[in-house]
Amino acid sequence: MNLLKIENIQYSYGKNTPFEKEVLKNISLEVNANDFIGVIGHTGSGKSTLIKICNGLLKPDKGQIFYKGENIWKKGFDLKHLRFKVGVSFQYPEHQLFCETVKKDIAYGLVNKGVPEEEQESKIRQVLKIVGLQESYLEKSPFKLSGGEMRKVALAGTMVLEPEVLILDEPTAGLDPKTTKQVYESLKEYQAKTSSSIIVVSHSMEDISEYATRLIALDDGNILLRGTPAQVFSNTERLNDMSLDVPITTSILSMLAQKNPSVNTNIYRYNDTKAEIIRLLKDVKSIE
Amino acid sequence: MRSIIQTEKLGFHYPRQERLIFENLNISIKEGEMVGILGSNGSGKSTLLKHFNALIRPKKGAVLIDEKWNTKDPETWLDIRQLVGLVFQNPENQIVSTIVEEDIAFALENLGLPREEIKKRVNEVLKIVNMYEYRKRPPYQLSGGQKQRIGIASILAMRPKGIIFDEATSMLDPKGRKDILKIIHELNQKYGVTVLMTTHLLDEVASVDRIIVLNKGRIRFDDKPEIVFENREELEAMGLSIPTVTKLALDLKAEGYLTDSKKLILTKEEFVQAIQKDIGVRA
Repeated sequence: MNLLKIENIQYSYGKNTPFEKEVLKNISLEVNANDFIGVIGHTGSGKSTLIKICNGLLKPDKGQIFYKGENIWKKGFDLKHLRFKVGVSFQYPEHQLFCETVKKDIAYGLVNKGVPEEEQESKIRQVLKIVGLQESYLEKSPFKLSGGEMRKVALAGTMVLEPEVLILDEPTAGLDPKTTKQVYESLKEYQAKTSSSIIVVSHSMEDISEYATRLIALDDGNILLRGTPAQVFSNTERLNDMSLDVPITTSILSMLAQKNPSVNTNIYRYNDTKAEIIRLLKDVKSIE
Repeated sequence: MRSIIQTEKLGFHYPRQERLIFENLNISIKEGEMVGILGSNGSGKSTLLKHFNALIRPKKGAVLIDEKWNTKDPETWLDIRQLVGLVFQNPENQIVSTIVEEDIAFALENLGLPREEIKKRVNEVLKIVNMYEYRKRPPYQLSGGQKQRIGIASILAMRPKGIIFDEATSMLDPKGRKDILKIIHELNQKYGVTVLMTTHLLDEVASVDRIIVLNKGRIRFDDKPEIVFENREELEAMGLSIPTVTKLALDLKAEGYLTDSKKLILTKEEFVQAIQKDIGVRA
């Protein structure tokens, strides 16, 4: 069974005011365990609104959302419980750190959730390991850490609640290449341990192409493209019309394909791209 | 060549903190140059850039702007900020008005320029960033990339000699990013504006004149991209990387391909050329 199911969602900001703007027009999406969904779309396409719809922070004007088959907006549904199960990490989550130690910050959600103190400790140590921070960080002030470390602490604070659906809005914006990789690797590790589903919003086609198993491309409140990364990235022109692009790897292969028709342009990951180019170079040799 | 920005043994630490963010930095940015500054998170890039238009003053050493203004002297601050503009990551943070053209006129009004001159400059800079048709629009209706273009236009209106872009593309979608990069290059090549930029997207700095790499408070590299990116292992150890095409070319070389190309490959076009050449040799 799917974890989240979103059906024909429509949402407008500023309803019944002169500023009314329809942000989501007709969105449907199913999220299953072990999904790694990449959400792409230009600024203002509705990505952040969709996230808020997913964990019940915004109530859609039309359409329905089901969590494990239960309508989250029906009377008596426990929305607070939902927000522990569908965890959201917003843009620049490090701006939301506020406790005097890293440990207290990560524990904040656990305390609210009512997790007994004895259990908190081991959970905190576990997530710290996943995000790649040493235990010596626990007693440090989060405000004395570097930007990348603060991002990891904020991420740990969301992961520690063990959400079944983990949604992240631009988790690596402003991070250096190494930290970016560490963040994505920790998401993968979290998923491998928990079979949760992960949804990542990103403007980096390169990052998303390395990690996502499914993509949706939002434009003007609708999902215009959806499928595997290979399927979505095979629509260069449509992506360009949506202010998006294909990863640089795919674009290199397309350039090579103009002179070498045998090149498969339906490839997007770095290692696959390298292998495809080696295949091309080897083929030439064998023809000889 | 005239130095727009020059640092002499520049050092900085935060108040009540022993640890130096950086020390003994000697950097010189010449008029008309396009320079990229790279460094991992926490390397002190943003702090350094804020020294360049006197938002932060040196704790040690000095920063000299246009070979005549020392940033320690408050009398020079207004002049410095007109000469060197700073564009930040988040365009929202620099928009103040409710109409695009008013936003750009804002700083010019503060300078006390005559009305006609203001009008002339506003129209001129809006055309440069391709936002003239949007001059009557409220900024909230614009996309991230368009807002960033407005941010750049309001700085251009001051007729600066240099502009610093501090991760100015990191929050933008692919089209917004492309548009901003195109404008940055145009400003440098067509209008002779000195450009200093930081980014974590290495592909963006493959075509600058010079790259400065900051590591642990020191300058580790200060050279042309094709020389800096030779040091892949060291850059990766610092948390940085090299452009995707460069990496791909080096990885292929390591497996015995592209042996003919001596020069480091920095663009997609160069890469495709090298592959075609390799195919030619093999066939």
